[in-house]
Amino acid sequence: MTTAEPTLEAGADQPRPWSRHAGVVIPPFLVFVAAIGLWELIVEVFEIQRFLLPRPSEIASMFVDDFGRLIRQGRNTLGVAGRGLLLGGGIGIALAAITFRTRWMAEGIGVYAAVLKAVPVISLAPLTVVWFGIEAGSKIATVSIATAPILFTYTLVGLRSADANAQELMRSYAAGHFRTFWSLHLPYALPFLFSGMKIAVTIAMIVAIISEYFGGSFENLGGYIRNEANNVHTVEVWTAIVMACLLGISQYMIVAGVDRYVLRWHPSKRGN
Amino acid sequence: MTTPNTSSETVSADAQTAIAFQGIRKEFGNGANSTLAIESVDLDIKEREFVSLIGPSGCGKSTLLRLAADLIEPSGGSVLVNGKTPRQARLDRDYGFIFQSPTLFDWRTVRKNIALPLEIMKIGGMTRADRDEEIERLLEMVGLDGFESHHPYQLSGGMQQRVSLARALVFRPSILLMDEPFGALDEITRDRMNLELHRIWEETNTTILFVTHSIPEAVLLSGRVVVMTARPGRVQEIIPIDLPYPRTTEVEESTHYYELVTQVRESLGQAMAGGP
Repeated sequence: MTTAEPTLEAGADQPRPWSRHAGVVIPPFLVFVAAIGLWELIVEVFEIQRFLLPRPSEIASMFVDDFGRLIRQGRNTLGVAGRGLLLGGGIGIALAAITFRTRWMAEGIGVYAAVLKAVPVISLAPLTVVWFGIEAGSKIATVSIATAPILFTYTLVGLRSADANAQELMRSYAAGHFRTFWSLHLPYALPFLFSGMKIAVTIAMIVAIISEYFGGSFENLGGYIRNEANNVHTVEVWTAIVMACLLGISQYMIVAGVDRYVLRWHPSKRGN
Repeated sequence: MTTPNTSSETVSADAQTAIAFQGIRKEFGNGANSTLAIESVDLDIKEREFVSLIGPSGCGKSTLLRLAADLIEPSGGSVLVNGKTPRQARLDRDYGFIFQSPTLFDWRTVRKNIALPLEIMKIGGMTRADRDEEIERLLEMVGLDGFESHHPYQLSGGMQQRVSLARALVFRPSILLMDEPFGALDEITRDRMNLELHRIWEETNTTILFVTHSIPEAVLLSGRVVVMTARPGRVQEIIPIDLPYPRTTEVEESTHYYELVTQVRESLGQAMAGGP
């Protein structure tokens, strides 16, 4: 669960007009269709057993049949991921906001943030079960532990990126700390915050599902996957995986969309 | 506040002192690695005066400006701004500071950039309508009417610096501290900005302390040009500029203008050679 360090080029992905989007969207789509087709063909030709690798068409049709339940389970998993992200992200952002002016404090916390990003946080999941019980509480805690250091690091780098002259300008206006934070540091931090969020939403979803593997309710994607896998219901497992992928992708796209809207003034977003 | 200066005599001998530097010494770093940037600088700038600081790079002219702005503190000597400590003057919002880079907030429109100091200072008795009117007046003064809804990145460098100027003037500080404000602009834009700055100085009652690398710019704009020596910075010579007001293109073409430019250049040459 390592994450790339944020850099000053955070959020450097350029928006493109639709005509140029086509060139980016169509080839991957063709690859996707070809891969699914090949998968279907391989299962057919080599007569692979259903429990080992079901056909994509079979997964698709069960996905449609079970859509209502999958959405319900997905919502529960999303709830855990979301609440964990809210808590962990909140703690990470708040710590960065409190300490960014005090070098020794920020560095002191930064070391542990780096450690937490380097260790496989998911190995803590059984421990959080001991601390917070088998249900949602422990899973939210694990997601928080996984996401807090990401948002701490990105927010810290962002807050510190504020232009030196602009900081002096605020000083010349005798602006208070809170005012300077709100009017200057926060806008500078936003591109980094969004870069961090794009990583954190994905991590939150992964950690939530894996936490659910360790026990608790079956009424969520992780629990469902655990249960169906135990019964070698491979097609059902696949439908939950597809749902998890769809939720992960849509979360990422929502964050990216908000990012693009909020930061339309930013050099990386405004094009020409 | 619109009485124009008709001659240099407007700055009378008994005018109040806006900025007083006394025995200023400034050292950066400490111990063996310290650099003496400025040594024993005495300089008085009168109210409504336009004074330029010129000197070789690293002579501490920007440092003087930053001392007056309370962005840094002197290692020795004292600075008084409007008779107060620089810190008190800063808290009282006595001065506006203009950097070489426009230092605009990209996420704010031109109008909201100019409004920034007013938002922060919450000037008593100023309604939203007053504020809008004030911004309107400044947009016109710096020649930016029609651009209030633009974002900084949609403007040229010269226009961005106009926004920066308007933002510094919007809260009507009595002093403008300008750190090579036009240094990054091309020659043509710079000439135009100089004349406009001079017009604005005449329209408003501000005192301007102006740091520049450009001899013609210093002569054209100033009532006095302060030539500084190479590091550690000292005052080499203070040259009064007795050119007629208003300073226009005609003034720039006069013989006396060229004589003064030559005088400043020679003084600067001596300063770089290591004192008189």
